Formats: sequence, structure tokens, C-alpha cells
Amino acid sequence: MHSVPELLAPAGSLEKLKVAILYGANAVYLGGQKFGLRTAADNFTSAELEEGAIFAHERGAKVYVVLNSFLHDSDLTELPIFLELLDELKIDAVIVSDLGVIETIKQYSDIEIHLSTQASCLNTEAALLWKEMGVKRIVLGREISLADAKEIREASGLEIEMFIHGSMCMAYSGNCVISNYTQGRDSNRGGCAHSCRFEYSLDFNNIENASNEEVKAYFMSSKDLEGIRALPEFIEAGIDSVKVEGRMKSHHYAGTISKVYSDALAQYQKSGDIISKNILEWEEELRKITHRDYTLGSLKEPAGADSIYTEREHETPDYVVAGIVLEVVEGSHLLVEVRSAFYPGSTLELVPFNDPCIEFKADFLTETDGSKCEKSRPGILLKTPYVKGAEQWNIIRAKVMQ
Amino acid sequence: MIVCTYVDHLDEAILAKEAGVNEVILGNMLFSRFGKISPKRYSEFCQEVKKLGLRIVFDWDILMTEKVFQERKTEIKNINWDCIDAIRVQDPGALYWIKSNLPDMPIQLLTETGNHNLIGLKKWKEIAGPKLERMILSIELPKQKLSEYIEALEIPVEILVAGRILLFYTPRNLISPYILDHDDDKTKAAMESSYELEGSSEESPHKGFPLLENLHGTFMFNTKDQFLLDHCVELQEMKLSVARVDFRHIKDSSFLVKAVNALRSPLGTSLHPLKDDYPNPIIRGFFHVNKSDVLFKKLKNQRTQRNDVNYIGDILDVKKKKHLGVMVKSKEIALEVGENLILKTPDGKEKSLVVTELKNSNGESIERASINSIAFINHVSGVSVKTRVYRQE
Ligand code: SF4
Repeated sequence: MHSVPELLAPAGSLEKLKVAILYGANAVYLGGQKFGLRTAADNFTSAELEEGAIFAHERGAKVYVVLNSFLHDSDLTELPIFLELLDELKIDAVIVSDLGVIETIKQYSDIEIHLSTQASCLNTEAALLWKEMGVKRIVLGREISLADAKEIREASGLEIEMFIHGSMCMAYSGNCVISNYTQGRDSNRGGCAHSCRFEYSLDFNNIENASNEEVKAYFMSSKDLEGIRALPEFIEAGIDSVKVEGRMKSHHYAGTISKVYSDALAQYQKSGDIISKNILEWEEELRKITHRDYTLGSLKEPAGADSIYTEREHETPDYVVAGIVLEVVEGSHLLVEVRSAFYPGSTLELVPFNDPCIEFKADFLTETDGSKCEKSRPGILLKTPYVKGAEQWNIIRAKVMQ
Repeated sequence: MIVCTYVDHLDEAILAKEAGVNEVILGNMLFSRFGKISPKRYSEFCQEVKKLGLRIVFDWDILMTEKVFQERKTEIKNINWDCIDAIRVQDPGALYWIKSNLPDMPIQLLTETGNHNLIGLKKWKEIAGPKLERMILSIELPKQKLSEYIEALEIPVEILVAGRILLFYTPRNLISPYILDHDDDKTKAAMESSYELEGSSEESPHKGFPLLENLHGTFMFNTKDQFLLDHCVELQEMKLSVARVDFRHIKDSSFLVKAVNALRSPLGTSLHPLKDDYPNPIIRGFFHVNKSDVLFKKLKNQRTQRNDVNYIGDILDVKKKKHLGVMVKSKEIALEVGENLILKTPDGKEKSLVVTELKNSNGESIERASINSIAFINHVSGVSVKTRVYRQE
């Protein structure tokens, strides 16, 4: 058996936590109602956090709670009570970017501290400084190559976590305050308005060699990171945890990335390698979730001009989530929470937690009152044919009709 | 109040000296975000400026990946530290390196990004150690906080009093791809090349964001400059030690004299507001108040947030006059016949309901439904999907 890193998936809600773990994530990260950066996310209440922690721990998965806002004095006064809860629930670590938060944590709790990417830790010396502050693990900035990460890990003796998949902030994390000044929302406390995704007209009038006087472009929007191809290098660099971005993203996303990356890690664990044929299959899977064009970011070389995403919209994926299995009545039906429209006779794909996808025909669609359904619609429960091997929280996909 | 500013040329240094500036920040282009002084000329230039009697600060404000840091460690050996009075630094790695390799060098610590609490700032002060001579605080701190921190930190504090507000810093080259051939190796900005232009978005009410690309990456600035020069009395009252003015982007070099006069003798300045003479649009930023978190509540639908006490689950299915499909999510409370429920709809209404009927998805009656199961209860009007279900106390 070859050792492989932990797969750390986003859990934007309790259901997504379950989906991510059931599809293979070894650890999840999530936010409470305060102190994290995803203000608009569903974020966990205390009871949800308790339920999530129990669910994860029962399955051997770890739970990390993000406290990665740059907190103001008044926010800090409320932190100790929350830390008490995290200790009670045996949360495995907190992800932090602010030194004041670290100091407060150390005063009130022994919980393990991971340094958030938001702190933009980019080099060995910085890692050593944070180590002195009591940090156990560093989530390196996305600007770092795998070769650099290896050096930082060896020289600092700290655990290293690196992003392998997901959207990327264009700025050095923690070094963008566009929203603070243009929208009155503190991006370092969860208020980012994604101004880097806007289209800008650039005035090149005073610049020599410019091909045009004015260019309209999405010039500061980053493509999404996809590191599946570099997974062997992550492992060879000794990276301790590979992380997927996306607490705001869908169940489909949480499930797909967890399944794909856990499959890939399992294959490496078994054989010490990753077969290129499988990489192609996994890449195909990763194209089924909503994403911008993919890039390797700075994993191998510093991100260049081809890492800029010059479109507004996401790629339209070939597949959509038709629904989530909420109940399996053996031999009878699946009870599905519908997420997008499909019809009787549609070919659907059940995505099991561990095995390959199973195609099946929606021979019947029955509403919960027993009436026939002619077209499913989001926001209802439907009975679909029973599929052997289906389990609660499985995703059902449908191919998009072009 | 001491005044510091940036200079790139000797004539600027002479002007600064004449204006009454005490300290100048010299940007070596390899270490300073917007530094224009070449590494070759740097040490000699420091000597020339030193002769004018100005205090010299080495500007090391870039953030460095491991690879860049390794390269800079080689370069930094060429710096002659004799004329340099202090180093200003942001990257914690650079701070760590200075403490080990230049233990006698006074440090000016940039804590302008993040760092909005006193506990953290005090810890940074402790980490920087006895050679820390100054902390540079964020301009997002309102004056009342600034004044509180200045008193509590017990160390000289500097803020940007007038100049461009940096909004965004990335190591990626975002401008040059539109200037040079994409496939050309030169796409990466060469050391001397830097591009400055403006960008505007229809999605933002603010027009004309200054943009700059150089060898350190791409920077975006606010459309309006930070400008507190008409608040010098307040700055003095709060005991601000050092006022930084940054006029590298404006042509009118005479403004420096007016700024220094205002800062050095706040009470002696005329009533004529300096903002009228400043060539760029200005703001006071967060100087009076920082409410950049008040909008957060609006980003979430508070009504759909779960209140944990007595919470049972959520409605996932509504069949008019027939039933409501509930997913039980509580570990403690099961759904049972005879239970009194409160249903809280996403639009804020509350409905009460007594469970008279409880069925599974096969239509069979059941006694209770526990966590992660779906059950169907008797219908009540006015309830939609995503309604939260609570037990009535
Ligand atoms: S606007 Fe873009 S670059 Fe800035 S914080 Fe938000 S995502 Fe990051």
C-alpha cells in the first residue's frame, strides 16, 4: 500500500457534508454561522455542526471548521463560546488566517490550528514563523508550485495542504479589497462581490505596442483549478492534504469531486501509479459539473496568460443533477428529491458511492400522491424505478438535451 | 508628526528634503511592489540620498513564493546596508529572514492587510521583536480604533495619509497578454517594462480603476485616492507618529510641500482645504466609520436559517389538500402522530398543525419517523417547500 494524502472536500451544508463523505472525502471543511468567509453560504448551526461531526467521525472522516475571516475586536469577543462548542464536538481542527484569532484560540482551546490560504503563506520562512505561532498545518497560497510546496514541507516540518480543484481567487488571498471600496462589503470578512469576474474595458491609448486602443475583456478572472493530472506529483511532493474549493457549490459538485479524487487516490494507494486511461475518464467526470475552463494554475509553472478565463458564464456541463435519492425502497422505488426536469422514459444515471455509474430508464415517474408524473420539476419528490445498489444521498444525473 | 514618502530620483529626494520630509522610502525594483530603482543603481542612490540628510527605508513589501524568495536571497547580498536606516516588510517570511540575518536592522512592519484587532497587532509587535521601530496600520481602521490602537500598542504608528489605495495584488500578468503576442516569451513583463492604464466595468458604478503591471504582477487601485490631509489636527490629536504620503502617480510635485506643511503644523495651516488643490478624486475611506460588515445580514435569507431548538426537519414536497412531505433531520426529535407542529415558511409566515396522519412513501401509516427518513403528514394551506418544521412547545 502506498501512502496518499487526505482528500479534503467542502461542506457548504449538512447534506453536502454527507454527500462528500459518502462519496469518499476523508475530511470536510465547513463554516459556522460566524467567523468564516462564505457569508452567503448556508453555514452550519450548532445542531447541524453536531450532527455533521457525528456523521463524519462515525465514518472515520475529519471535520475542520473555518474561522478564516480577519476579525475585528468585537467579533473576537464572541469567539470563545464557539470554541467551547468545537471542543465539545471534538472538531479536528480550525482553519484560521488572523493572528488575533490564533492567539484567542490558543488562550481558550487546545484545538489544532491550520493556517488558511487567506494568510497567503508562500515560503519556508513564513511557514516557520507561523509554526512558532502554534500552527500545525499550512494551507499554501495558490501561487505555490508543487516543487516549492515540497521544499516548504521538508524545511518547515509542518503538514502541508494544497488546493487541487476549484475556483481560484485571482489575487494573493487576503490581498484584495475591491469589494470593501466599491460595494462597502469587507471581502476579508466574507463580503467579496467577485469584481474580478466582471468584464472591464481597458484603455490602451497610452500604451505602445497595444493592438487596440480599447479592449473589452474579462481580464482578471481566473480559470478553475483542476489538478487530477498532477495528483502523482502531489503525492510525490508529500502533500498531506489535497483540498477542493467550493462550499457554495452544489451537491452534484460535492459528490463528483469527492468520488473522482477519492477513486484516483485509491488507485494510487493500491498500485503506486495512476493510469492515464483513468485520468481521461476522471477528467470527463469533472467536466460534468459546472465549471469554468480548467487550468493547472501554478502547480507546475507560474500561472500564465492561459490561466485567465475570458468568458463570463461557466461552461454548460453535459450533465445536470436530476435529483438526490432520499429513500430506497428495495424492489419498489427510489424516492428522489427533484433538482431538474426530466420525463418518463428519460435515461438517467445513478452515481453510486463506490462503484461505476449505473444507467437506468425512468420507466415510471410517480408523484407522492400516486398520480402519474409527465414531467418532473424541481421542488417535488418523485418515485422513480428501483435501482439495485442505490443508497440514500446518491446523486442521479441526466444528460442535457442539446 | 514625521512625514515619509517615496522617492525614485535624486531631484525628488532634494525636493522632499526641502519640503521637510524626514524619511524616504527607496524602492529597489526587485523588492518593492512599485519600486523603480534598479538593483545596480540602488546602493549608490542610497548614498546620494543619505548625503542630503534623509533617513532611508528599504522597501521590501512584495509577497514572495518560495522560488522568488530564493532568488531574492541571492540578490539581497548585493545590498549595502550602511546607508539604510530601516527595512519595511509585509511578507512574514521576509520578517523572519530579517530577524535571523540582519538582527540589528530596525524593522517597520506593514500590517495594512487584514489585522483589524488589537490582540493580533500586539502579537505581531511581539513577533517582530526589539528591533521593531514602527507598525504601519490599515487605512480601513476608523479613527476611533486607530487612536485606541496607537495608545495600546506603545510603538510609533504610521498610516497612509494621502495617496493611491491598493485594491488588488496578483502575481499574474493580466495586462501584457493584450499587448504582446501571447506565444511570445516576452509576454512575461521584462524587468524594466511596466504598463499603466485604466479599466472600467459596466457592472461597477466606479469608473477608471488605475491598473499597473510590472515584474511583480498586476495591481489595481481605487478610482479615488485616500486623502486625510484636511484632517491633520485629528491625526495629531490621536498621536499618529508617522504620516505617509505617496504622490508617485501625480505629476504636480509642488503638492508635497503643501502636504508636509499641513502635517507638520496642523494648527498653523490656512482654512483653505487642501483637497481643492489635489489633482485626483479623493475619499476619506473608512476614517470616520467602517461599516463594511453591515450588509452581510442581507446576503442571507434569515428566515430559512435553522433555529435549532425544537427543529424537526424540512418540508420537501407539498401536495395540495393531500399531504406535506417532511424530511426528518433532528437526531433528538422524531415526527409522531399527535405532535403539535409549528411550520415556518421561507417568506416568514408561521402555521400550526397537529399531526393526524403519518405515512411512508408507500402510503402505509406509520407511528413515527426519525432522522434521515421521509414521512408524509396531513396538509395545511399556505406552506411551501423549504418550510422549516418545529415541535410546538
Ligand atoms: S474579487 Fe476576485 S480576486 Fe478579489 S477577493 Fe473576490 S474572488 Fe478574490
